[in-house]
Amino acid sequence: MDYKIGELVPTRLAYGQALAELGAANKQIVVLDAEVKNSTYAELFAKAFPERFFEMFIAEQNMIGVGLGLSKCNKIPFVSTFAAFLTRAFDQIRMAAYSQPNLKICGSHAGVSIGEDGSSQMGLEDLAMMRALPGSTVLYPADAIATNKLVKLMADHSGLDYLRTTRPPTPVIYKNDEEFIIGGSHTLISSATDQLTIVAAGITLHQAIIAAEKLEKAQLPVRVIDAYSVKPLDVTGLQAAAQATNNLVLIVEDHRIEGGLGEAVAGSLAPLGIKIHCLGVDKIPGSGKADELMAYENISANAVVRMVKSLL
Amino acid sequence: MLELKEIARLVRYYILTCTTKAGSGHPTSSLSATDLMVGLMFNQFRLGFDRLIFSKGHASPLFYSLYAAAGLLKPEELYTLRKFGSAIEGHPTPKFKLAEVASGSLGQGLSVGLGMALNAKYLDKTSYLTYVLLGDSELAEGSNWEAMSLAAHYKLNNLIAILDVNRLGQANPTMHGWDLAAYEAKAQAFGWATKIIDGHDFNQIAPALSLAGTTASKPLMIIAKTIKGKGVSFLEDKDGWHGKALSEADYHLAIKKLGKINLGKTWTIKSAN
Repeated sequence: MDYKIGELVPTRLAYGQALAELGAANKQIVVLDAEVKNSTYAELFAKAFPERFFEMFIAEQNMIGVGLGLSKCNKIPFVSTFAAFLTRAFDQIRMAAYSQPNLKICGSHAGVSIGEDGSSQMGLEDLAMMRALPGSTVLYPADAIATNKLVKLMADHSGLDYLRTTRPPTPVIYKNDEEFIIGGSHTLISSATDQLTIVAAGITLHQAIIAAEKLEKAQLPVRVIDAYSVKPLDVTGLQAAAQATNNLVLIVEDHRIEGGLGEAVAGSLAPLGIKIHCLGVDKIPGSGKADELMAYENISANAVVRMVKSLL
Repeated sequence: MLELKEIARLVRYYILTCTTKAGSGHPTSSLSATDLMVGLMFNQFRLGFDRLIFSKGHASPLFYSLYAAAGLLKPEELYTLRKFGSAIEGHPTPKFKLAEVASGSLGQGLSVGLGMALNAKYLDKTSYLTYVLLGDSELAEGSNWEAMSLAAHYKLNNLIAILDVNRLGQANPTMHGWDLAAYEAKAQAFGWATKIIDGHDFNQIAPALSLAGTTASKPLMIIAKTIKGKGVSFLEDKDGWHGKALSEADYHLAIKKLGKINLGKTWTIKSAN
């Protein structure tokens, strides 16, 4: 798939497009979905390869077990539903982790940015859940290019891999030939005078970019890093950025503060003497527009600007 | 048939010995399913072709002892059960190479088996059969019923659940006890073919298992009435023995009750031709 810089594409749509693209070359790929394939966009694979798509209906626990069974038959199952509903299958995912699996899980509709549907539909604990498992890989793309590349990495990688996708469209920020690796990160904004590093992933990366542009105008240059590989984290890259920016790091994420990207970064960088601050979801969100909810939870560009000004 | 009875005695010997040596484990939950699994593995199963999932993973002493009786696991390896560093863990994991997945968190094995059956029927288009050993207590887990619905929807007549109705859970009797008709009504309502048997009578086990793969478009559930602790009179159908190994003294009494054991002998689980 080719995407144009600035084009608005939901990462969940890019997930379906990537699967449909991959399916032609890789016959081992099998896709399961819990009756939301028109929301996760697994339907794009289902339309292209109906013989390798299986509707699991609204039964997430069973779906994970079926995926594990298929992975034991030399298939590469990609299993999708809303990130929120994967939590009810955590025991199955946990047992998969102890089963030497090759299982690919996609949780869509992550975060408060889903908007109007409200708290029951928001995946806000999925990173914590997936990070906690032994041997898991946790990926969180911010745009369609990153999604496309990460889905391909997952297909080629053996293990329990999780991809977190976003409901609303986000602008394409990467070129089609940008490279992604498991355990990597990308520095999007940097200068020799950066005073702080903002680490973000997914939807909040775009808020961080807007914030950095505003801060630049206020003579407060900051570095912005896309930590698309939440686990394993690019500790070396983040450490270097932090040490070049007053040992000061701010994470902004659309996930509960507990167990998300912020705590992943803190766990790796705090022992190195780096000061870590986190902006994440810590209230009970409700319905509203994505922008309203991100403002309410203090993960919007303006919230980032306020936080950076208070830190510098 | 005489041969299966002899194998079952050996398997029961291994179950009791490995759990007593370990000082813990689930011998009684293993003994209830012993005849069912001996009937499956030494009379029907095709090693390296058919698939077996022990959803009731706590019956791991039985799982390992079957392979010990088949000469695929040395007794000295079996006797590392539950020891630090052993592949023969308290509940099976793929550290033991004949365990396909980790099990023991109940209500999950049928879903895994469903995935394998789905693969055989629709993807690889091959004729292996997938057998899942279920405990009666674990049918309280809703995830089983998710799998039951979906297996019928996909017409997986290559998926066979073997339900070990030993009546007793960990802390108390199950909701249905030995009401096999209750299980049958539920399974049939979910679109499954069923067969009720005495799970300790090889004359019933073999014909029931031979239905595997023959049920036109329905998965098959063999609903077997069993006795927890079967083979050791002072353990049989007794509450309070779940997850407990025998003392040395009780162990020696129990072994005597099994009858003649031919320890040096191994038996073949046939391979697919």
